[in-house]
Amino acid sequence: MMTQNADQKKDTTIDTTIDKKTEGKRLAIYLVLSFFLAWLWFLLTIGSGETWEDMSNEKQSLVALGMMCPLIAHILTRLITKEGFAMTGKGSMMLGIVFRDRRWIWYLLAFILPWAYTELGNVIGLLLRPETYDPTYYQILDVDRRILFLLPVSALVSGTIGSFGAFGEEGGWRGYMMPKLFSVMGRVPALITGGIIWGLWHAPLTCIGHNFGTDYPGFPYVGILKMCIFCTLVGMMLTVLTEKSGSVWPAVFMHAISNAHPAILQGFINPDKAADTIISSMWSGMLIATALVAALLLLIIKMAPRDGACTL
Amino acid sequence: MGGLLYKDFIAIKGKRLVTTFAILTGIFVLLRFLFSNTAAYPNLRVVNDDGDVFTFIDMLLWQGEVMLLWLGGLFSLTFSAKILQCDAKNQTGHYLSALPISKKTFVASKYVFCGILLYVFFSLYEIWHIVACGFMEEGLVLDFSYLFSGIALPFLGTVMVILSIELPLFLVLGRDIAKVIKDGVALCIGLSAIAYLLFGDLNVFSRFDFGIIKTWMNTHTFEVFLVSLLTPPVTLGLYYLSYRIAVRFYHE
Repeated sequence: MMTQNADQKKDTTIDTTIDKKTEGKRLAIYLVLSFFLAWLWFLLTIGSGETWEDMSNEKQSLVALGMMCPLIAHILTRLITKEGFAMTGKGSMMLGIVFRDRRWIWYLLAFILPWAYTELGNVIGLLLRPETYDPTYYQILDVDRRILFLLPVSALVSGTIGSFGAFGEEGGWRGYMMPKLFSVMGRVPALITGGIIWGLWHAPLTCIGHNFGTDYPGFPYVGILKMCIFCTLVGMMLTVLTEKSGSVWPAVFMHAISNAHPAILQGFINPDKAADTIISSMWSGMLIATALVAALLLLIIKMAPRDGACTL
Repeated sequence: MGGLLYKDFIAIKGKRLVTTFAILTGIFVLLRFLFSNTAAYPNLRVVNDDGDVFTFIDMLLWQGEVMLLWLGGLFSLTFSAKILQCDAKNQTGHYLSALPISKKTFVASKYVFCGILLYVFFSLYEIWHIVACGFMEEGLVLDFSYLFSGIALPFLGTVMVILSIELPLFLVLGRDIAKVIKDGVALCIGLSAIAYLLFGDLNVFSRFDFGIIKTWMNTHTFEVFLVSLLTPPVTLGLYYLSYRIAVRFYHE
């Protein structure tokens, strides 16, 4: 009897190892494809010596289309590994939308969170560098004051409608990478590794001055490091939303709204008034705010009853 | 719901459609990269007296982008009728009554499917627009392209409003009656347009000054912003209202 139990235990261990190995291989294929496709796109679209600021708006949008590569990599990986294209359930692409069992809350949070951490980040930035406060800065930006106060709503609407770019990223990172990372290395290391991978994926863009510009000490390595930290923090929130809702869509909407900059205070903060340091006030404010909001979200989830929750 | 959506996906030959559009997108991207430097083809560009540049290569690619938007609208309208016709032909209603699927879910699946179609076509159009404009030379074609991209969302919004009328008609009245009504309305609009062209005051078009509209839009940015902000939620609200009405009458 004991031998039989030991055999069963051995079999299970072998199965888990094979599973981990298989998942690891699949993850490696996905990451190679995702990085290769995206970096190739960046290489083809970015001219030599060109910075993000030098580019026209049209060119910037073209470069940003690299956001579709993680999703394309996801689809190609599934074709290579023959995993199938299930829309819902375990091991699926997680494209279904379910509102029952109070899962609509995660969609609501996806709409609110970007505004919360962006605005909180601006407040913290202002507290760190009060001299950046400029009550007429929106006039320099040529924005109507009334429009400024509607920006969070505008970001919500435009972000939701034009969410295909964010879908391209989240369909890959949250839809494929994170579930694989969870099964390969466990929860906490997966969240950190996932964030670092996501941040590193942005490296070519950071090197041409996207997000942080080019004029700061330690360029571009400090920028890449900052991006990794930011991606880890935001990635935690996005992963939790995906996990709890069982769908990538809340993450897609949150990412898209976040990219649309849903902040009123940006019309009253003049970054030119602050000297560039390794950690600028705006970005340190944003990082602190994102960390606070992420921590708060994780705390709420830990305290909330478990019904209605689902796992990746 | 997932099964119902997949059934409709099969009804419109979705796999073939996805493959076709994926290949078309690939070709479009390839063409854009191959002809990224339009200045290298001096025979295919014209500069007018004001110094505005007009490039034929950019114009052709822009035409592709425009075609895609028209196709998106046309396909969404055609497919909405097609999925309902397929259901009528295969007597899906009788088959579904034997399954644990409510009538509400069935109606919802049609609305969700058409909504997904519009989202996909709008996203695809946006991708094509970004690719086309990516290497476009500053000039008349780029201006056209931006002007047209501003119309894309209202255009697909109008398609959504038409679907809000068409879907309940097909669901509640059935394929035959709804088709007669749809064709009748289309014929009336077409005949009215021809009648106006034959007997109406065509000077209206010559008096039409686009510059006035452009000036008004530049001086009323807040009003324009408000309209663009409210139009998508209002359109979605109408679509939802149409769904509620369809569910109510479909039950009866």
